Amino acid sequence: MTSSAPIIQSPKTECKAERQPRKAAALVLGVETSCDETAVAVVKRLPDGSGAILSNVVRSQWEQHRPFGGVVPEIAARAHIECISDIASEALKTANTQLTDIDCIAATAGPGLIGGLLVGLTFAKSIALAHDKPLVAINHLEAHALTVGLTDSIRPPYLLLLVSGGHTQTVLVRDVADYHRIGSTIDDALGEAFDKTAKILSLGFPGGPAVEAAALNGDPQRFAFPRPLQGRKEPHFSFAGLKTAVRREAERQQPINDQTIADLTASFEAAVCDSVIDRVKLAHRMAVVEIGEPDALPIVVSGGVAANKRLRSALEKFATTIDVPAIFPPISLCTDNGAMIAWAGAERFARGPLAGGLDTSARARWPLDESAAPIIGTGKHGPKA
Amino acid sequence: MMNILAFDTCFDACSVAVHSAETGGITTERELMRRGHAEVLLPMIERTMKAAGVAFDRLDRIAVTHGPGTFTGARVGMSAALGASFAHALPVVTYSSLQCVARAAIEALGDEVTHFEGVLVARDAKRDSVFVEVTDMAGDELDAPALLSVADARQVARSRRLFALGSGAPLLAGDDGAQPGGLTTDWPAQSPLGIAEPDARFLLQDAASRTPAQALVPLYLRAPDATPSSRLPLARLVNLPAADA
Ligand SMILES: Nc1ncnc2c1ncn2[C@@H]1O[C@H](COP(=O)(O)OP(=O)(O)O)[C@@H](O)[C@H]1O
Repeated sequence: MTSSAPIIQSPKTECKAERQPRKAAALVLGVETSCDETAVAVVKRLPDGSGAILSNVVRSQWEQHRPFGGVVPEIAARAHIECISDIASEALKTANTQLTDIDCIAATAGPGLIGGLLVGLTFAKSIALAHDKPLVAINHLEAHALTVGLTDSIRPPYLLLLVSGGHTQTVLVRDVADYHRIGSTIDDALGEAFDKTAKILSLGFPGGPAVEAAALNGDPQRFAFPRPLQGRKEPHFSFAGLKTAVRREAERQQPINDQTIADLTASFEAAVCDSVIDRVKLAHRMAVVEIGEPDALPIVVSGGVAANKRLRSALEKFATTIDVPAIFPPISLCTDNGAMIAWAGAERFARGPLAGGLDTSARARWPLDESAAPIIGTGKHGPKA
Repeated sequence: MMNILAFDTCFDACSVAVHSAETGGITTERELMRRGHAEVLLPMIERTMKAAGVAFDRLDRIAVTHGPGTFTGARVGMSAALGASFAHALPVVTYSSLQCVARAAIEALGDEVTHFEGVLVARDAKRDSVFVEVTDMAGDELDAPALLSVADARQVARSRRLFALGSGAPLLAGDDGAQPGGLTTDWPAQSPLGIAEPDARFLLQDAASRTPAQALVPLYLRAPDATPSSRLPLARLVNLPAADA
């Protein structure tokens, strides 16, 4: 038996990077496994910067997590590996393409649950190596941030409001790969606040849609819940106190009936909207000052909570008052999906040099804006730095 | 003759071995490590394939250990196998990590194999339990890999004349310190870390003739740690009659 001398240190895959922006159309395979959705997609990016989704296969695992009232990391990782290959096959088939035609493989490398991230990232690395394609490790938050380029042909700069189960932040997207995080939650993510509120009221999991449905016929003014951080000069978010206020009020209202649940959830949503608008208003003002352009800086809203109608109309109304467009990518592309990962990969690929090779690590935490000071808080995915 | 790529990341080593159909030779690389398999594995595969002069599109199959192992380790190996298999529609043959270790022990025993009826590989699985597998002296499975209590594993250790090794082996000694089987030597010395960790080259012994796996899922042998949420805040709320009902 011969042993390969370890001297043959492989050059890192990123050496495949070219110096010049690429001019041809690119086909990118995107793999997403950072939380409780296994997703693979094929996206095409044309040289003019426009894109098309050729396939976008998403399998949600939430049925497997339901008995636990939240995502269990080890269950998530196991569920990802069981179906990743099938999902990838389906994505290629639907796109009517094959791996040899793919220009670049993109996979989420973080932030998220490490066990699941490793499944998708390792699977993608292996495909990239086996077909000698460049691998691009994608920041999940960046993918959310760039989705409007794919869905609405919106190019930077814009202000992104990301509101999901794991994240709540405002980010000035100056350009692809150039982000400045303005505000972030100091405790719970907004989706988490919805989920916890649903849990307090035994409305089921995932909680966002349940809270929204319950709130439909509620009186948003019956309970005067706090508007966290409203008026504060730091552009951050906080939802833990609001959730606690809902719990206290619910306890006080016992025995509880459907109308009280409706009023509690409606009042919760009203408080959320006021708080978010106040925070976004401040972030938008700061973003406009930062880029020094008085022109309309669009507000882009992404993440699962963007599905919430009350929040949506509040944001639309606010955008109208300051005369800027508010853009909401289709909700299926606001929640976790492979198309946004493929698209972020395509945007990176189009720019030339690629970060991340076969030795890329998965990262539980990976702030979009690495220069931003960490904000300590806790959440579903641990502290959001 | 087949071109075969084999690898393992189940425990405290990361290893890759490639069999070249053209030369009949085996090229390997191996590193002992507790963590970092996810970063090391694919570059190691890339180097070993290059050194072996085998291209991915010339591979005939993949051989991989599917577990038991650390949950993450077993998944890293299997995810890489799934990716390579998906990339070139390759069959995958799977092995237990413990069987892989048993084969290394058999090679190391040399002529001494005749003293034993089998090899017991025991891996400390914490919580008073061990991952255990018994193979015959050809390295083929006798007792399938299982997660056993230390007490049950001790029974197994005394069922035959076994050569025992692995981090769980010391747990199987009797209360008097007597070692299982007819082993007379001092086995911590017999099972240095390097041998007690899997080495992918041993998968190549029969990877060409093994039946490919149907389902490519890790062999965890242990359920995830998760208990249904019992503390539903205000759960009693919904049990109360509505005020106006
Ligand atoms: N209609 C809705 N109203 C409020 N929140 C919602 C709604 N629909 C979904 N959500 C919330 O969005 C989150 C899921 O969004 P997603 O972007 O998939 O987040 P993540 O991947 O970070 O968990 C969940 O917390 C869910 O409760």
